[in-house]
Amino acid sequence: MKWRVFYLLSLGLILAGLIHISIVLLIPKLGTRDAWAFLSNRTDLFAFTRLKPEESGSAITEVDPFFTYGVCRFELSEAPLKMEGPLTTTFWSASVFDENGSVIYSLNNRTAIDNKLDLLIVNPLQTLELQEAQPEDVESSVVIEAGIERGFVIIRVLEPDNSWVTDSDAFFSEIKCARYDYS
Amino acid sequence: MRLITNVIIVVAIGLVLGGASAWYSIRQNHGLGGIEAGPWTAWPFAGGADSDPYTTAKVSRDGTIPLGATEGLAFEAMTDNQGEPLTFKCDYAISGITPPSKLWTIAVYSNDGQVVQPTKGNRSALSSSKLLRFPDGSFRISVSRKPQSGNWLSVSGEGNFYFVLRVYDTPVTSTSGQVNPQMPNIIRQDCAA
Repeated sequence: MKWRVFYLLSLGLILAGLIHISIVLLIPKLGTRDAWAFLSNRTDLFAFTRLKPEESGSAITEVDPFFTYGVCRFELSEAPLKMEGPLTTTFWSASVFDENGSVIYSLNNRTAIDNKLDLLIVNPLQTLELQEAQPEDVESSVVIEAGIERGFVIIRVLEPDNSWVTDSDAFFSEIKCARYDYS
Repeated sequence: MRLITNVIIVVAIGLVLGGASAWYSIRQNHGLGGIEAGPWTAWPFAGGADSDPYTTAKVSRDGTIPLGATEGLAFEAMTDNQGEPLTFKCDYAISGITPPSKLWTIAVYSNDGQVVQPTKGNRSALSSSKLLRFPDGSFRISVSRKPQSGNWLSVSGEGNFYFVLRVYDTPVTSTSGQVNPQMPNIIRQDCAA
């Protein structure tokens, strides 16, 4: 009897461990509240979209009320992504995400070249093509080689109070998120 | 018959323990994969490609957009310095200093991840640019449902809440070895009966 209890308990514990590991590993794959699943349904490829987290039904939580957000979704198998923004005095930052929601590159206005948003995201094959073509219009760009197919860029702009809304609106309206063509 | 009972017992133990431990380990304020400073916890690798499975699961479950290392770092606090959960019934004082950064913001969130509604015309979030400070650079923020002098985070609601303090453009994330960040204290004040 004593051995039976011990035996069942240890089997149960082993099963518990397996279930624990599979739940933790499966949540990102099956999660319904996933911000990324939400974004891909709401945004177009190679088009800059403002995020409205306050909209009902938004899966994105814990947004910073002092920031406004914009997203640009890309697919490198289609074309490289070129992202440009105007010079501005407000603090902004940008992160490049893969489709699992991991940040592969991030920068802010202080770490960017000339404080300007100017990104070129390419996959390894496109890097080679880029080196061959040596286009002049990407000389000042931050070139990010990413071994991914799809992803997002999220831009955050500081909006300390309502008087900054026009500034961030102007900044967002001038952000370009487009397919890049070497020729 | 005995075999079936055995299987049921094993499966029950597995489901209950496995499910509960998985839920517990990705719950918001659990320190797995995080760095702690007083009541605050941050997940500096939440966005990174090499982030651990617990942090990845937490980010996915919460539906948050993690901050990249160059962007900043978000600290969450679900308890006060004594380890008591934060409740709308009580007033709190947040005082001290924050890690060096270009700017930082603090906001109050309810447990569903939405910003807590302030009382009309007030704010449930503050940024470092509009903060009153003591001569030595430290600050004190009152968290209350009733108007307070000085820095005031206005809250309203039922149940529990949590703070998120985000430091932007901070050396904390780029310093190798993650220096122990200096975070403000959260001290409970008067509570409504």
